[in-house]
Amino acid sequence: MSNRIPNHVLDQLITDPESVPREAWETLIAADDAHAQWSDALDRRRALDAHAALTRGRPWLARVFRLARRARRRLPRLLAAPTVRLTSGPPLASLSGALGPSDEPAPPLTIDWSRASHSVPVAVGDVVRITSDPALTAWYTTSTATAPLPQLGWKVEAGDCPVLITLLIDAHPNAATLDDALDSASAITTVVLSFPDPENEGP
Amino acid sequence: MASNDADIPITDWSRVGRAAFFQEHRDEILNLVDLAFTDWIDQGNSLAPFGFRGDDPVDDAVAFVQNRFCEGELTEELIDEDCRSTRLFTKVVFWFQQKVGQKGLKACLRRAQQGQRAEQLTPRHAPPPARSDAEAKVLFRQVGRQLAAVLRDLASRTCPDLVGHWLEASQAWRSVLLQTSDSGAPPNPKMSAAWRSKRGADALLRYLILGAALLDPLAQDARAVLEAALFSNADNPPTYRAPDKSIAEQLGLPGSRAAKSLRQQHTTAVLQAAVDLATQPAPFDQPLWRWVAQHSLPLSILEVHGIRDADLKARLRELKEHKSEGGLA
Repeated sequence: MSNRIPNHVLDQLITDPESVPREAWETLIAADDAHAQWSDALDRRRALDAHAALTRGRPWLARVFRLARRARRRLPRLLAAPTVRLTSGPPLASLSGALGPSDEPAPPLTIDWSRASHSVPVAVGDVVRITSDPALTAWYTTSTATAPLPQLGWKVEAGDCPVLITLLIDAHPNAATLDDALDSASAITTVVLSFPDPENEGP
Repeated sequence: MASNDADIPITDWSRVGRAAFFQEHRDEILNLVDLAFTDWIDQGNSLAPFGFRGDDPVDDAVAFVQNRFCEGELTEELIDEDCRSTRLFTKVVFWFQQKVGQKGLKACLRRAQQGQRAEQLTPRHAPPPARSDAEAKVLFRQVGRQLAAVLRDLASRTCPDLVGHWLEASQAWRSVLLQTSDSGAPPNPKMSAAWRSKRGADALLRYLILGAALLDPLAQDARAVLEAALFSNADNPPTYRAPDKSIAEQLGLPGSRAAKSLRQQHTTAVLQAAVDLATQPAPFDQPLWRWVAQHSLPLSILEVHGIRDADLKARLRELKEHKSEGGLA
């Protein structure tokens, strides 16, 4: 039998090991999937910390993340949604004969509507394109504006990032505000376009 | 895991100070609280036992946190040091405790996690072999306590990643020692086998050092070098060690080259002591740590610490051969 430790206890073991009763540590070492439990909990804590880092000093971004999350909570369980893909890379990447390997576009990201958020690293000059679908609408949010994105694409310029793109299915096409669009949507997710942080690159 | 740059420190815990902090960071805070409570629900838990109901229980919880933080009786001493920042807003259990009090917390958590518990109680593997008698049970429990106490120490003095590497590297022998089942969980696909092997070896050694108190017999300067290098909460992959330069600065050594040389010299000495423990008759009070040592010293540990010592290498190889022949008790 697997000794599952509640997620909030695992989080406490990670963030403040001394404060947790020793029984929790005993349960952990006796679990046959202790490493998997620990690793999942660490991923969850790092995702929370990464989100806090992304929104620190960016109230405009925090506000839209929360709006989108609240609207998602009101939705019934999602049964089906169109397949939407997002590509990003240099604008001329399709002319691959003229370009080196470093200019190749990243593989397309398939939007997972069960997730609240996706993250896409971009560089200045990259073009982001979202596959079109009649039910799909998109809004963008930067530090200065929130507005519809009818062309379903974004050219990344210096000082742009992060940009938050909110993707919606079945939202009212003439919604005047993002709030209105979120209220009428049947599926919602977000995509953050951000420059990779060199300090946070892996080993 | 220490608070990081993402967290905005809260320095003024007076009611006025907290209210001002909230107003200054309102959207960031509300978003973090909303995210943390949404995660709680997404994991199959409920907010109802804590009194958060309504059309959107998360909104209720967010409103409570806002009110409690700005208006409630919160003192700095109540808050763990690592959480005296915006990280506090991601600690749902702290706010549950604020809502229902310490006495009611346990019962509420139990009710809130019923969905999760149903999944937890589903047997996924064969039950562990029946223990022969009550005495054996007590023994396993005692061993478990000792191992767990050292793991807590390791977590406090290193970093969460290293704990994860230890849990993975020690799974097979832990299951033997504690008479639990070994699920043979698949290895972490994010890391190569070589990477896992080295990090596992490092984690096993550091755990053994703490468990068997291998630093205790060392001279004070040697102990200081190894404490600074291996047990200073360094969270920097791939080594999870304090950089030699910072060790030199901390201990007043002439430079990073001197620090590296001393670190390797003292690590070699500790490794020799660990192999002694694994191979020589143990003091009567150390059979557990002898057993752990026998299973915690793979050859790759030399590469991890850049140690080139032919004698030590030969001893580690001999230990490995003895173990695979079943020659070690």
